[in-house]
Amino acid sequence: MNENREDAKAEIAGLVRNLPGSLIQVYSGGENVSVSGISPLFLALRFPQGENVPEYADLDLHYLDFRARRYEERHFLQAGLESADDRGDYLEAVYRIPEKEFAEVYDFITRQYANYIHCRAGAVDNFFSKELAGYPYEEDTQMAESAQAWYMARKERMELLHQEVLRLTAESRERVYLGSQFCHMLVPSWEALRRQMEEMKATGHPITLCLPYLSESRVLQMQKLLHSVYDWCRQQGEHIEVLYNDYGYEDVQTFDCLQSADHFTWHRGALLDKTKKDPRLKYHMSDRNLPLQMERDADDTGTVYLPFYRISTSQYCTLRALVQKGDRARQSEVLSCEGLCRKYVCIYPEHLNLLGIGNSLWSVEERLLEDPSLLTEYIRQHHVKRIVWNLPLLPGLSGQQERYFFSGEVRG
Amino acid sequence: MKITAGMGDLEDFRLLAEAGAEEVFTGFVPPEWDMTRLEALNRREVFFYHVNLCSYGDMKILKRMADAGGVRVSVTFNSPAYAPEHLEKIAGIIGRLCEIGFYDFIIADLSLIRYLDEHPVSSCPVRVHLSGEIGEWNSALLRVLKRNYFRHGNVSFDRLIFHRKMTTEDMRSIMKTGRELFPELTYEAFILNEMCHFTGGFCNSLHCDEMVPICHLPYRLSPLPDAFRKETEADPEDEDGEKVVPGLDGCGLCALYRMNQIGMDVLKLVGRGRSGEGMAEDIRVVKRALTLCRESEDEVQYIRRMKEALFPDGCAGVCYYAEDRVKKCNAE
Repeated sequence: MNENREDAKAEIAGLVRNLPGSLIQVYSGGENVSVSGISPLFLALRFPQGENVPEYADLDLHYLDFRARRYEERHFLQAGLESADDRGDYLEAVYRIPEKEFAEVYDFITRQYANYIHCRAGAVDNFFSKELAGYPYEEDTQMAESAQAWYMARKERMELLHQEVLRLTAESRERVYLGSQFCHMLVPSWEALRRQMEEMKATGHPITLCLPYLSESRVLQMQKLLHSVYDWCRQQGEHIEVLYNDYGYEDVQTFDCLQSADHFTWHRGALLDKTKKDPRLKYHMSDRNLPLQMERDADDTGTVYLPFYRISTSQYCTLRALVQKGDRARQSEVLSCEGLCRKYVCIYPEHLNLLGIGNSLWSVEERLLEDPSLLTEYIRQHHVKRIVWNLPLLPGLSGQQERYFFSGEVRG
Repeated sequence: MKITAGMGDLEDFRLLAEAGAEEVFTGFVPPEWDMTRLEALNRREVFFYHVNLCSYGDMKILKRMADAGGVRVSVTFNSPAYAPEHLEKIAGIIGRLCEIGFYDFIIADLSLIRYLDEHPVSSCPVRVHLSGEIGEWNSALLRVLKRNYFRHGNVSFDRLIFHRKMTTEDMRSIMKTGRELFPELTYEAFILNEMCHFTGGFCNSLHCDEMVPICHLPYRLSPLPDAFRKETEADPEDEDGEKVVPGLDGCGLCALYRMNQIGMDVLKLVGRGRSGEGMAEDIRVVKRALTLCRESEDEVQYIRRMKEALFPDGCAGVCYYAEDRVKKCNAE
C-alpha cells in the first residue's frame, strides 16, 4: 500500500505540466477549468479559490486532434480526488483516473505536443510544415530567375484565363479603375486624375475611382481631391463609382460630397475585405474555396479581381525599405515616392505563385490558371456580377504602362 | 504613461505585475468556441502556444489576481472580421466574462461593436478598446464611430490603440479630435516588439501552427542593381550570431519623449506567446526608459541617454516610428 502511495506521489511529482489550454480543457460538474498537469493515471485541475472541489468528479475532457482538425470528447465518471493543494492564487486538485482510455488520451496529447515541439525546434526552414501539413518545403528554394521569367512562365495560362474573362463579360461595357486601393502614393494628383477621367469620358468608359487607406495627415488632401472630382462630375453631368478602403470616408462631415447620389455610387474596397487569403490555405484546411479577391455589394452580388488577389498590405512601403535599406522591416512613412514598384518586384517560391508588388503581397490562384473554366462555377456560387482584370499591377510586363484595371459585367 | 503587457499564460501574471505592468491584455478562447471549425477569436490563431487563456476557471483566477494586484485586464476579441452569424455567440462569451468582472475588451471588427451596442450583454457598459488591427486611424473615423457605432450606451469607447505604422504627429492630431468627441477616451501606442512587415488590419494571410507567417517566407528582390544596394549598419550580435538587444523585432523607444508630450496614456508591449521572463525584462526596459524620459530636459538628451543606457552597443534599428524628427535627434 505504502509502495503504491509512493508510486502515486512520484507520478504526481512528474506530471506533464504547462500544456497550452487550447490542447485540452475539462468540465467538472459543469464548471470549465484548466488542466495544470497530466500523467497516465492523474489529471491535475486548476480551480478558482472558493470553488467546490468535489471528492468524486464526473469529468468531461475536450482535447485537440490537430491532424484531424477537431476536438475529441471523453467522459470519465467518478474520478477520485487524490490530493488538493492550495497554490495561493488557485487550488490544484489531482484526480485519479484509472481507465485505460484516459492513459490513451494522455499518450495522444503529450505525443502530439512533443511532436510539434520537435518539428519546430531549431527549424530553420519550412521543414516542419511538411510534417504538419504536407507543405512542399523542398520547393521553397525554387524561384524564378527574374520578374520577367516569373511572368513568362504564366503568360500563356494568364492569357487563356483572360480570354475566359472576356468571354464571360462579352457584350458589356468596359469600365476603368483609376487611382489605387492599396497605396496612397499611387493616387494621382487632381491634374493627372482629371486628364484620365476626361480621356475615359471621351472613350465612353464608365469610371471607378479607387481610394486607399487614409492617414490623418492626408485627410485634407483627399477631401480637396474629392471635391474637385465632385465639381468635375457636376459640370460634366457624370456619375462615377468610388471604391474606398478606409472607414473614415464614411464620415459625412469630412466627405460630404461623397453623399451626392447624383454623381457618386460608393462601395467598400479590397482592404476592408478581411477574409483569409493565402496561397497556402490548401495545406491548412479542407476548405477548397478559391481565395480570390471579392467585394460584395449590399445586394449580395460581388466583384472579383483576376488574375491577382491581394494578401497583405503595409502603409509603409515594404519594397522601399528593402531596396533602400536592405531590410524590409526598416520601414518609415513615405512622403515622396521614387516609383520603385515600377522597377522591382519580390519573387517568392514558384509553387506559391506569390509576388511582392509595391507595398503588398499578391498571388495568382493556380487552379484557375490550370483550368479557367472553374471561373464559371465560382461566378455562379458567389453571385459575381463583375470581373476586374488587374494584370496591370505589373506595368511593363503586362504590356501596359499605366496601372488602369479594366472590368466587365458578367452576362446574367 | 502606464505599461500594458501581453500575457498568454496565467502563470506569467505575477511576473508581469511584479515587473511593473499596470495593465495586462490577454486572449480568451473557451471550449465552446471550437477554433478547428470557427474563425479565430483573436489574432493569435494558434493551438500549440500559450497565447490565450482557455477556461472560465482561469478567467476567475485571473480576475482575483488582477484585483489583488491592482492590475487592469483587457481581453482581446480583435479578429479583423467575424462571420455575422457568429456575433451572438461571441457576445455570449463576452457576457459571461462580464459576469466574472471583465469589462474591457479589445475589438477590431466594427460590426461586433454595433452588435454589442444593440444587444446589451451586461448591466454595465462594455468598455471597448479599439484595436490597432482596425487598419488605419484618422479623425474622420472617430466621427463615424461617434455617429454610427456608440449610440445606445451599451458600449463605451474607452481606449484607442494606435497601430505601428503612423507618426506621432498623426496621433497628436487624432487625439485632439478624440478629446472633443470622446472626452473620456484614453490612448495607447505600441512601444516594443513585433514590428510586422505588413499592417495587421490589412493582412489576410494565415497565422497558424503548421506554417510560418507569410512575411517569413523566403523571397528575393528582382532585379537588384548594385546601385541600389546599401550597406546596412552592423547589428549587435552575440557569439551565435543572435542579436540580444531589446526590441529586436520592433521598437518605439526613441519616440517615448514625444509620446509623453502628446499625452499618450498607455504603452503597449506586444508578445503573447513569449516567455514570461522575457516579457518581464521588456517591462523593466520600458520602465527604465520612462524614468530617463522624466529626468531628461529635452528629446535629444532623452534619446542620447536612453541609447547609452539601454543600447550601449547599438539597437536593432527596427523602428516603429522612424520619423525625420527622431532621426534628427539620433543624429545630434
